Amino acid sequence: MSRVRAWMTRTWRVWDGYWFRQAPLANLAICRILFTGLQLIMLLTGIPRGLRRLPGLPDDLYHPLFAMQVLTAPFGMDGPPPPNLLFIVYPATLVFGLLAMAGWLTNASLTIFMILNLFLQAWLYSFGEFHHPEAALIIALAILSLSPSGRVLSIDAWLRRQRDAREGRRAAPWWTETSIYASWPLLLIMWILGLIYLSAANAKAVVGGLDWLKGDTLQWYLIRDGLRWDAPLGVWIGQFHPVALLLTWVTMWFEWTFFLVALMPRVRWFYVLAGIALHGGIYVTMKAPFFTFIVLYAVCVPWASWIARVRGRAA
Amino acid sequence: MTRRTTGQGISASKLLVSAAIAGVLFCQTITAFHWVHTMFHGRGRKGYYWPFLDYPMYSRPHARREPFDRYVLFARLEDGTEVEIVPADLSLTFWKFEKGPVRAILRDDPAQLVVYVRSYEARFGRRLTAVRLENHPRVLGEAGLTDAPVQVVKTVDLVAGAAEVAGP
Repeated sequence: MSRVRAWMTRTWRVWDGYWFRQAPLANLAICRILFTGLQLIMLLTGIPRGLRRLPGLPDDLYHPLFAMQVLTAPFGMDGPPPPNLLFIVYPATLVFGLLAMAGWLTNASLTIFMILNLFLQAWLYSFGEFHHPEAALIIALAILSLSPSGRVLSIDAWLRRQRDAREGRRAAPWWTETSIYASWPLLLIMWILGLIYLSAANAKAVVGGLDWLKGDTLQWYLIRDGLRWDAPLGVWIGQFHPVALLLTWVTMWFEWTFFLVALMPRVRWFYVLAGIALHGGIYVTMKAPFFTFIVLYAVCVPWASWIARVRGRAA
Repeated sequence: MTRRTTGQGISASKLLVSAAIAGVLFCQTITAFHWVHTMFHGRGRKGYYWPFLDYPMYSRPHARREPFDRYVLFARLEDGTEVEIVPADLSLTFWKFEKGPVRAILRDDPAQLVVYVRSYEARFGRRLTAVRLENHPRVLGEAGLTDAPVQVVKTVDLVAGAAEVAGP
Protein backbone atom coordinates (compact mmCIF):
# COMPACT_ATOMS: atom_id res chain seq x y z
CA MET A 1 0.00 0.00 0.00
CA SER A 2 2.80 2.44 0.83
CA ARG A 3 4.41 1.61 -2.55
CA VAL A 4 1.21 2.56 -4.34
CA ARG A 5 0.94 5.70 -2.24
CA ALA A 6 4.57 6.63 -2.99
CA TRP A 7 3.97 6.04 -6.70
CA MET A 8 0.81 8.16 -6.63
CA THR A 9 2.63 10.94 -4.80
CA ARG A 10 5.49 10.85 -7.33
CA THR A 11 3.06 10.82 -10.23
CA TRP A 12 1.11 13.75 -8.82
CA ARG A 13 4.33 15.73 -8.30
CA VAL A 14 5.31 15.23 -11.95
CA TRP A 15 1.78 16.09 -13.14
CA ASP A 16 1.57 19.11 -10.83
CA GLY A 17 5.03 20.36 -11.77
CA TYR A 18 4.20 20.11 -15.48
CA TRP A 19 0.65 21.50 -15.70
CA PHE A 20 0.61 23.90 -12.73
CA ARG A 21 3.90 25.75 -12.92
CA GLN A 22 3.88 29.53 -12.39
CA ALA A 23 3.50 31.24 -15.73
CA PRO A 24 2.69 34.73 -17.00
CA LEU A 25 -0.99 35.51 -17.37
CA ALA A 26 -0.15 37.83 -20.28
CA ASN A 27 0.61 34.82 -22.53
CA LEU A 28 -2.85 33.44 -21.84
CA ALA A 29 -4.59 36.78 -22.29
CA ILE A 30 -2.92 37.49 -25.63
CA CYS A 31 -3.98 34.04 -26.85
CA ARG A 32 -7.54 34.81 -25.74
CA ILE A 33 -7.56 38.03 -27.77
CA LEU A 34 -6.02 36.37 -30.84
CA PHE A 35 -8.31 33.30 -30.80
CA THR A 36 -11.54 35.22 -30.21
CA GLY A 37 -10.46 37.74 -32.81
CA LEU A 38 -9.84 35.02 -35.37
CA GLN A 39 -13.19 33.35 -34.65
CA LEU A 40 -14.90 36.73 -35.05
CA ILE A 41 -13.19 37.26 -38.41
CA MET A 42 -14.39 33.83 -39.51
CA LEU A 43 -17.90 34.67 -38.33
CA LEU A 44 -17.87 37.79 -40.45
CA THR A 45 -16.30 36.27 -43.57
CA GLY A 46 -16.41 32.53 -44.35
CA ILE A 47 -19.17 31.28 -42.05
CA PRO A 48 -22.01 33.52 -43.41
CA ARG A 49 -21.59 31.88 -46.85
CA GLY A 50 -22.40 28.52 -45.33
CA LEU A 51 -25.21 29.88 -43.15
CA ARG A 52 -26.91 31.47 -46.18
CA ARG A 53 -27.15 28.03 -47.81
CA LEU A 54 -28.87 26.45 -44.82
CA PRO A 55 -32.47 27.38 -45.70
CA GLY A 56 -32.04 25.88 -49.19
CA LEU A 57 -30.80 22.48 -48.04
CA PRO A 58 -33.38 19.65 -47.98
CA ASP A 59 -34.25 18.30 -44.53
CA ASP A 60 -33.45 14.81 -45.85
CA LEU A 61 -29.79 15.75 -45.83
CA TYR A 62 -29.84 16.62 -42.12
CA HIS A 63 -27.84 14.10 -40.09
CA PRO A 64 -26.98 15.92 -36.85
CA LEU A 65 -23.54 15.66 -35.35
CA PHE A 66 -23.22 14.55 -31.75
CA ALA A 67 -22.68 18.16 -30.60
CA MET A 68 -25.83 19.24 -32.45
CA GLN A 69 -27.86 16.47 -30.86
CA VAL A 70 -26.65 17.47 -27.40
CA LEU A 71 -27.31 21.19 -27.94
CA THR A 72 -30.79 20.73 -29.43
CA ALA A 73 -31.99 17.88 -27.17
CA PRO A 74 -33.20 20.22 -24.36
CA PHE A 75 -35.47 21.91 -26.92
CA GLY A 76 -36.89 18.66 -28.27
CA MET A 77 -35.72 19.29 -31.84
CA ASP A 78 -35.66 16.20 -34.04
CA GLY A 79 -35.11 17.88 -37.37
CA PRO A 80 -32.92 20.83 -38.29
CA PRO A 81 -33.46 24.03 -36.32
CA PRO A 82 -35.69 26.62 -38.04
CA PRO A 83 -33.55 28.91 -40.22
CA ASN A 84 -35.09 31.95 -38.49
CA LEU A 85 -33.13 30.97 -35.39
CA LEU A 86 -30.06 32.28 -37.19
CA PHE A 87 -31.38 35.83 -36.76
CA ILE A 88 -30.99 35.40 -32.99
CA VAL A 89 -28.00 33.11 -32.70
CA TYR A 90 -25.71 34.81 -35.20
CA PRO A 91 -25.80 38.34 -33.75
CA ALA A 92 -25.65 36.93 -30.21
CA THR A 93 -22.48 35.06 -31.17
CA LEU A 94 -20.90 38.28 -32.43
CA VAL A 95 -21.83 40.14 -29.26
CA PHE A 96 -20.43 37.50 -26.92
CA GLY A 97 -17.34 37.25 -29.09
CA LEU A 98 -16.67 40.95 -28.67
CA LEU A 99 -17.26 40.68 -24.92
CA ALA A 100 -14.89 37.72 -24.68
CA MET A 101 -12.23 39.52 -26.69
CA ALA A 102 -12.56 42.68 -24.60
CA GLY A 103 -12.62 40.54 -21.46
CA TRP A 104 -15.84 41.53 -19.70
CA LEU A 105 -17.12 38.73 -17.47
CA THR A 106 -14.50 36.85 -19.44
CA ASN A 107 -15.11 33.24 -18.46
CA ALA A 108 -18.87 33.50 -18.88
CA SER A 109 -18.73 35.36 -22.19
CA LEU A 110 -16.03 33.01 -23.52
CA THR A 111 -18.11 29.98 -22.57
CA ILE A 112 -21.23 31.33 -24.25
CA PHE A 113 -19.23 32.42 -27.31
CA MET A 114 -17.74 28.96 -27.61
CA ILE A 115 -21.12 27.22 -27.25
CA LEU A 116 -22.78 29.47 -29.83
CA ASN A 117 -19.93 28.90 -32.28
CA LEU A 118 -20.14 25.17 -31.65
CA PHE A 119 -23.88 25.34 -32.39
CA LEU A 120 -23.48 27.32 -35.62
CA GLN A 121 -20.64 25.20 -36.91
CA ALA A 122 -22.23 21.88 -35.91
CA TRP A 123 -25.47 23.00 -37.61
CA LEU A 124 -23.56 23.74 -40.83
CA TYR A 125 -21.74 20.42 -40.61
CA SER A 126 -24.84 18.32 -40.02
CA PHE A 127 -25.64 18.17 -43.76
CA GLY A 128 -23.07 15.62 -44.87
CA GLU A 129 -20.04 17.85 -45.15
CA PHE A 130 -17.59 18.88 -42.47
CA HIS A 131 -14.15 20.44 -42.40
CA HIS A 132 -11.16 20.31 -40.12
CA PRO A 133 -9.56 23.77 -39.82
CA GLU A 134 -12.08 25.20 -37.33
CA ALA A 135 -12.16 22.23 -34.98
CA ALA A 136 -8.94 22.92 -33.08
CA LEU A 137 -9.92 26.57 -32.58
CA ILE A 138 -13.25 25.59 -31.02
CA ILE A 139 -11.43 23.22 -28.65
CA ALA A 140 -8.96 26.01 -27.81
CA LEU A 141 -11.82 28.41 -26.99
CA ALA A 142 -13.37 25.77 -24.74
CA ILE A 143 -10.04 25.33 -22.93
CA LEU A 144 -9.61 29.09 -22.49
CA SER A 145 -13.14 29.42 -21.09
CA LEU A 146 -11.98 27.31 -18.12
CA SER A 147 -8.84 29.37 -17.55
CA PRO A 148 -7.95 32.76 -16.03
CA SER A 149 -7.45 34.27 -19.51
CA GLY A 150 -9.26 37.44 -18.45
CA ARG A 151 -7.10 38.15 -15.42
CA VAL A 152 -5.03 40.69 -17.39
CA LEU A 153 -5.55 42.63 -20.63
CA SER A 154 -9.29 42.77 -20.06
CA ILE A 155 -12.12 44.96 -18.86
CA ASP A 156 -12.33 42.68 -15.82
CA ALA A 157 -8.68 43.43 -15.02
CA TRP A 158 -9.18 47.18 -15.51
CA LEU A 159 -12.18 47.18 -13.16
CA ARG A 160 -10.20 45.21 -10.58
CA ARG A 161 -7.31 47.65 -10.78
CA GLN A 162 -9.70 50.59 -10.37
CA ARG A 163 -11.10 48.90 -7.27
CA ASP A 164 -7.60 48.21 -5.91
CA ALA A 165 -6.55 51.81 -6.57
CA ARG A 166 -9.58 53.12 -4.67
CA GLU A 167 -8.65 50.87 -1.77
CA GLY A 168 -5.04 52.02 -1.85
CA ARG A 169 -3.59 48.76 -3.22
CA ARG A 170 -0.83 49.02 -5.78
CA ALA A 171 -0.98 46.61 -8.71
CA ALA A 172 2.03 44.97 -10.34
CA PRO A 173 2.60 45.62 -14.06
CA TRP A 174 0.20 43.37 -15.97
CA TRP A 175 2.93 41.65 -17.96
CA THR A 176 4.56 40.45 -14.74
CA GLU A 177 1.46 38.88 -13.14
CA THR A 178 1.65 35.10 -12.92
CA SER A 179 -0.55 32.22 -11.86
CA ILE A 180 -0.19 28.48 -11.42
CA TYR A 181 -3.26 28.17 -13.67
CA ALA A 182 -1.74 30.15 -16.55
CA SER A 183 0.32 27.41 -18.18
CA TRP A 184 -2.03 24.40 -18.39
CA PRO A 185 -4.32 25.87 -21.11
CA LEU A 186 -1.40 26.70 -23.39
CA LEU A 187 0.29 23.34 -22.82
CA LEU A 188 -3.00 21.52 -23.45
CA ILE A 189 -3.51 23.34 -26.75
CA MET A 190 0.06 22.36 -27.73
CA TRP A 191 -0.82 18.74 -26.98
CA ILE A 192 -4.03 19.01 -29.01
CA LEU A 193 -2.02 20.29 -31.97
CA GLY A 194 0.53 17.53 -31.40
CA LEU A 195 -2.21 14.88 -31.40
CA ILE A 196 -3.72 16.35 -34.56
CA TYR A 197 -0.42 16.15 -36.41
CA LEU A 198 0.22 12.64 -35.05
CA SER A 199 -3.23 11.64 -36.32
CA ALA A 200 -2.31 12.88 -39.79
CA ALA A 201 1.04 11.09 -39.70
CA ASN A 202 -0.54 7.90 -38.40
CA ALA A 203 -3.17 7.92 -41.14
CA LYS A 204 -0.47 8.22 -43.80
CA ALA A 205 1.48 5.37 -42.20
CA VAL A 206 -1.55 3.08 -41.82
CA VAL A 207 -3.28 3.86 -45.13
CA GLY A 208 -0.31 4.79 -47.29
CA GLY A 209 2.43 2.76 -45.70
CA LEU A 210 5.88 2.98 -47.22
CA ASP A 211 4.35 4.02 -50.55
CA TRP A 212 3.58 7.38 -49.03
CA LEU A 213 7.27 8.05 -48.54
CA LYS A 214 8.14 7.70 -52.23
CA GLY A 215 6.94 11.18 -53.14
CA ASP A 216 4.45 10.02 -55.80
CA THR A 217 1.44 10.47 -53.54
CA LEU A 218 2.20 14.06 -52.55
CA GLN A 219 3.05 14.80 -56.18
CA TRP A 220 -0.38 13.49 -57.25
CA TYR A 221 -2.21 15.50 -54.57
CA LEU A 222 -0.36 18.70 -55.45
CA ILE A 223 -1.54 18.42 -59.04
CA ARG A 224 -5.05 17.26 -58.17
CA ASP A 225 -5.73 20.08 -55.73
CA GLY A 226 -3.94 22.57 -57.95
CA LEU A 227 -6.33 21.67 -60.78
CA ARG A 228 -9.38 21.45 -58.56
CA TRP A 229 -8.90 24.77 -56.75
CA ASP A 230 -7.08 26.68 -59.48
CA ALA A 231 -3.66 26.86 -57.81
CA PRO A 232 -1.15 26.95 -60.70
CA LEU A 233 1.84 26.80 -58.33
CA GLY A 234 0.66 23.44 -56.99
CA VAL A 235 0.22 22.09 -60.52
CA TRP A 236 3.71 23.32 -61.48
CA ILE A 237 5.52 22.02 -58.37
CA GLY A 238 3.69 18.70 -58.64
CA GLN A 239 5.43 17.98 -61.92
CA PHE A 240 8.84 17.75 -60.23
CA HIS A 241 9.23 14.48 -58.40
CA PRO A 242 12.41 15.40 -56.44
CA VAL A 243 10.63 18.45 -54.96
CA ALA A 244 7.62 16.35 -53.98
CA LEU A 245 9.96 13.78 -52.40
CA LEU A 246 11.67 16.45 -50.28
CA LEU A 247 8.32 17.94 -49.20
CA THR A 248 7.10 14.44 -48.33
CA TRP A 249 9.93 13.87 -45.87
CA VAL A 250 9.67 17.37 -44.39
CA THR A 251 5.95 16.83 -43.84
CA MET A 252 6.54 13.45 -42.18
CA TRP A 253 9.21 14.85 -39.86
CA PHE A 254 6.98 17.79 -38.89
CA GLU A 255 3.85 15.71 -38.21
CA TRP A 256 5.59 12.96 -36.24
CA THR A 257 7.56 15.32 -33.98
CA PHE A 258 5.44 18.46 -33.46
CA PHE A 259 4.30 17.20 -30.05
CA LEU A 260 7.82 17.97 -28.77
CA VAL A 261 6.80 21.64 -28.44
CA ALA A 262 4.77 20.60 -25.39
CA LEU A 263 7.86 19.06 -23.78
CA MET A 264 10.79 21.19 -24.95
CA PRO A 265 10.31 24.98 -24.89
CA ARG A 266 13.58 25.55 -26.76
CA VAL A 267 12.28 23.93 -29.98
CA ARG A 268 9.02 25.91 -30.10
CA TRP A 269 10.26 28.76 -32.23
CA PHE A 270 11.60 26.30 -34.79
CA TYR A 271 8.34 24.39 -35.09
CA VAL A 272 6.31 27.62 -35.25
CA LEU A 273 8.37 28.84 -38.20
CA ALA A 274 8.25 25.40 -39.86
CA GLY A 275 4.49 25.21 -39.31
CA ILE A 276 3.91 28.65 -40.80
CA ALA A 277 5.95 27.63 -43.84
CA LEU A 278 4.12 24.29 -44.12
CA HIS A 279 0.58 25.66 -43.86
CA GLY A 280 1.44 28.71 -45.94
CA GLY A 281 2.84 26.43 -48.62
CA ILE A 282 -0.18 24.11 -48.43
CA TYR A 283 -2.49 27.07 -48.94
CA VAL A 284 -0.58 28.51 -51.89
CA THR A 285 -0.23 25.14 -53.67
CA MET A 286 -3.39 23.31 -52.62
CA LYS A 287 -5.71 26.02 -51.27
CA ALA A 288 -6.21 24.11 -48.01
CA PRO A 289 -6.87 26.91 -45.49
CA PHE A 290 -5.38 25.91 -42.14
CA PHE A 291 -4.77 29.49 -41.00
CA THR A 292 -6.38 28.66 -37.67
CA PHE A 293 -3.40 26.43 -36.88
CA ILE A 294 -0.98 29.28 -37.57
CA VAL A 295 -2.85 31.50 -35.10
CA LEU A 296 -2.99 28.64 -32.57
CA TYR A 297 0.81 28.57 -32.64
CA ALA A 298 0.51 31.71 -30.48
CA VAL A 299 0.46 29.33 -27.49
CA CYS A 300 4.16 28.64 -28.20
CA VAL A 301 5.21 32.31 -28.14
CA PRO A 302 6.65 33.80 -24.89
CA TRP A 303 4.69 37.04 -25.21
CA ALA A 304 5.27 38.23 -21.63
CA SER A 305 9.07 38.00 -21.86
CA TRP A 306 9.04 39.82 -25.21
CA ILE A 307 6.94 42.60 -23.69
CA ALA A 308 9.20 42.79 -20.64
CA ARG A 309 12.23 43.03 -22.90
CA VAL A 310 10.70 45.82 -24.99
CA ARG A 311 9.57 47.69 -21.90
CA GLY A 312 12.98 47.23 -20.34
CA ARG A 313 14.64 48.75 -23.42
CA ALA A 314 12.12 51.61 -23.45
CA ALA A 315 12.82 52.38 -19.83
CA MET B 1 -6.79 19.32 1.23
CA THR B 2 -3.81 21.65 1.15
CA ARG B 3 -4.25 24.91 -0.73
CA ARG B 4 -1.08 26.69 -1.75
CA THR B 5 -0.27 29.24 -4.40
CA THR B 6 3.26 28.07 -5.08
CA GLY B 7 2.22 25.19 -7.30
CA GLN B 8 2.66 22.48 -4.67
CA GLY B 9 -0.03 20.34 -3.11
CA ILE B 10 -3.43 19.12 -4.16
CA SER B 11 -6.45 21.38 -4.26
CA ALA B 12 -10.01 20.98 -5.50
CA SER B 13 -9.29 23.45 -8.30
CA LYS B 14 -6.30 21.48 -9.48
CA LEU B 15 -8.24 18.24 -9.39
CA LEU B 16 -11.06 19.76 -11.46
CA VAL B 17 -8.63 21.21 -13.96
CA SER B 18 -6.75 17.90 -14.11
CA ALA B 19 -10.02 16.12 -14.91
CA ALA B 20 -10.68 18.62 -17.70
CA ILE B 21 -7.16 18.12 -19.09
CA ALA B 22 -7.54 14.34 -19.01
CA GLY B 23 -11.00 14.56 -20.57
CA VAL B 24 -9.93 16.74 -23.48
CA LEU B 25 -6.81 14.64 -24.18
CA PHE B 26 -8.90 11.46 -23.97
CA CYS B 27 -11.53 12.73 -26.41
CA GLN B 28 -8.98 13.95 -28.94
CA THR B 29 -6.86 10.79 -28.68
CA ILE B 30 -9.67 8.29 -29.14
CA THR B 31 -11.05 10.13 -32.16
CA ALA B 32 -7.65 10.91 -33.68
CA PHE B 33 -6.68 7.23 -33.74
CA HIS B 34 -10.15 5.70 -34.29
CA TRP B 35 -10.28 4.12 -30.87
CA VAL B 36 -13.86 5.39 -30.56
CA HIS B 37 -14.96 2.59 -32.85
CA THR B 38 -12.32 -0.07 -32.26
CA MET B 39 -12.12 0.14 -28.47
CA PHE B 40 -15.28 1.84 -27.30
CA HIS B 41 -17.72 0.67 -30.00
CA GLY B 42 -18.85 4.23 -30.43
CA ARG B 43 -21.49 4.97 -32.99
CA GLY B 44 -21.36 7.55 -35.69
CA ARG B 45 -20.09 8.27 -39.12
CA LYS B 46 -16.98 10.28 -40.00
CA GLY B 47 -16.88 13.61 -38.22
CA TYR B 48 -19.73 12.70 -35.87
CA TYR B 49 -17.84 13.83 -32.79
CA TRP B 50 -16.72 17.15 -34.31
CA PRO B 51 -14.71 19.13 -33.10
CA PHE B 52 -12.86 15.99 -31.98
CA LEU B 53 -11.68 14.53 -35.28
CA ASP B 54 -9.12 12.37 -36.99
CA TYR B 55 -7.02 13.94 -39.74
CA PRO B 56 -6.63 11.41 -42.55
CA MET B 57 -6.39 13.94 -45.37
CA TYR B 58 -4.04 13.07 -48.20
CA SER B 59 -3.26 9.66 -46.69
CA ARG B 60 -4.43 7.42 -49.55
CA PRO B 61 -1.45 6.47 -51.74
CA HIS B 62 -1.49 7.36 -55.43
CA ALA B 63 0.77 6.66 -58.34
CA ARG B 64 2.26 9.52 -60.28
CA ARG B 65 0.47 8.64 -63.54
CA GLU B 66 -2.92 8.09 -61.96
CA PRO B 67 -5.59 10.21 -63.70
CA PHE B 68 -7.21 13.19 -61.97
CA ASP B 69 -10.96 12.67 -62.07
CA ARG B 70 -13.25 15.60 -62.83
CA TYR B 71 -16.92 14.69 -62.62
CA VAL B 72 -19.52 16.58 -64.60
CA LEU B 73 -23.24 15.99 -64.16
CA PHE B 74 -25.78 16.39 -66.96
CA ALA B 75 -29.55 16.16 -66.78
CA ARG B 76 -32.03 15.42 -69.57
CA LEU B 77 -35.25 17.43 -69.41
CA GLU B 78 -38.72 16.36 -70.52
CA ASP B 79 -38.33 18.18 -73.85
CA GLY B 80 -35.16 16.22 -74.56
CA THR B 81 -32.71 19.04 -73.99
CA GLU B 82 -29.71 18.57 -71.76
CA VAL B 83 -28.37 20.89 -69.09
CA GLU B 84 -25.29 20.68 -66.95
CA ILE B 85 -26.02 20.66 -63.22
CA VAL B 86 -23.39 22.54 -61.24
CA PRO B 87 -23.12 22.69 -57.44
CA ALA B 88 -24.60 26.19 -57.27
CA ASP B 89 -27.80 24.90 -58.91
CA LEU B 90 -28.45 22.84 -55.78
CA SER B 91 -26.99 25.36 -53.28
CA LEU B 92 -24.19 22.90 -52.67
CA THR B 93 -20.51 23.42 -52.15
CA PHE B 94 -18.03 21.44 -54.23
CA TRP B 95 -17.73 18.85 -51.46
CA LYS B 96 -21.48 18.47 -50.87
CA PHE B 97 -21.86 17.99 -54.62
CA GLU B 98 -19.10 15.32 -54.77
CA LYS B 99 -20.42 13.51 -51.69
CA GLY B 100 -24.04 14.07 -52.68
CA PRO B 101 -25.34 13.42 -56.19
CA VAL B 102 -21.97 12.32 -57.62
CA ARG B 103 -21.45 9.73 -54.91
CA ALA B 104 -25.09 8.65 -55.10
CA ILE B 105 -24.60 7.79 -58.78
CA LEU B 106 -21.21 6.13 -58.25
CA ARG B 107 -22.62 3.97 -55.46
CA ASP B 108 -25.93 3.16 -57.17
CA ASP B 109 -27.94 4.84 -54.44
CA PRO B 110 -31.21 5.89 -56.12
CA ALA B 111 -32.82 6.95 -52.85
CA GLN B 112 -30.07 9.48 -52.19
CA LEU B 113 -29.99 10.65 -55.82
CA VAL B 114 -33.72 11.34 -55.81
CA VAL B 115 -33.26 13.88 -52.99
CA TYR B 116 -31.11 16.03 -55.27
CA VAL B 117 -33.25 15.44 -58.34
CA ARG B 118 -36.35 16.64 -56.47
CA SER B 119 -34.40 19.64 -55.14
CA TYR B 120 -33.42 20.64 -58.68
CA GLU B 121 -36.95 20.13 -60.01
CA ALA B 122 -38.43 22.26 -57.21
CA ARG B 123 -35.94 25.06 -57.79
CA PHE B 124 -36.19 25.29 -61.57
CA GLY B 125 -39.71 24.01 -62.17
CA ARG B 126 -38.46 21.42 -64.65
CA ARG B 127 -38.85 17.67 -64.63
CA LEU B 128 -35.78 15.55 -65.18
CA THR B 129 -36.02 12.29 -67.10
CA ALA B 130 -32.42 11.15 -66.70
CA VAL B 131 -29.05 12.18 -65.30
CA ARG B 132 -25.67 11.31 -66.74
CA LEU B 133 -22.37 11.41 -64.86
CA GLU B 134 -19.27 11.95 -66.96
CA ASN B 135 -15.61 11.95 -66.03
CA HIS B 136 -13.34 14.43 -67.81
CA PRO B 137 -9.99 13.25 -66.44
CA ARG B 138 -6.54 14.72 -66.84
CA VAL B 139 -3.32 12.75 -66.59
CA LEU B 140 0.34 13.59 -66.03
CA GLY B 141 2.34 12.18 -68.92
CA GLU B 142 5.85 12.62 -70.28
CA ALA B 143 4.76 15.82 -72.02
CA GLY B 144 3.08 17.21 -68.90
CA LEU B 145 -0.62 17.43 -68.05
CA THR B 146 -3.01 16.38 -70.80
CA ASP B 147 -6.73 15.68 -71.12
CA ALA B 148 -7.66 12.02 -71.14
CA PRO B 149 -10.72 10.80 -73.12
CA VAL B 150 -14.09 11.70 -71.63
CA GLN B 151 -15.83 8.74 -69.97
CA VAL B 152 -19.54 8.29 -69.43
CA VAL B 153 -19.57 6.83 -65.93
CA LYS B 154 -23.28 6.14 -65.54
CA THR B 155 -26.65 7.15 -66.94
CA VAL B 156 -29.58 7.00 -64.55
CA ASP B 157 -33.10 6.82 -65.99
CA LEU B 158 -35.55 8.67 -63.74
CA VAL B 159 -38.74 7.88 -65.65
CA ALA B 160 -41.63 5.98 -64.01
CA GLY B 161 -40.74 7.15 -60.51
CA ALA B 162 -37.83 4.82 -60.05
CA ALA B 163 -34.21 5.49 -60.82
CA GLU B 164 -32.72 2.77 -62.96
CA VAL B 165 -29.02 2.70 -63.34
CA ALA B 166 -27.33 1.95 -66.63
CA GLY B 167 -23.62 1.66 -67.25
CA PRO B 168 -21.81 3.70 -69.89
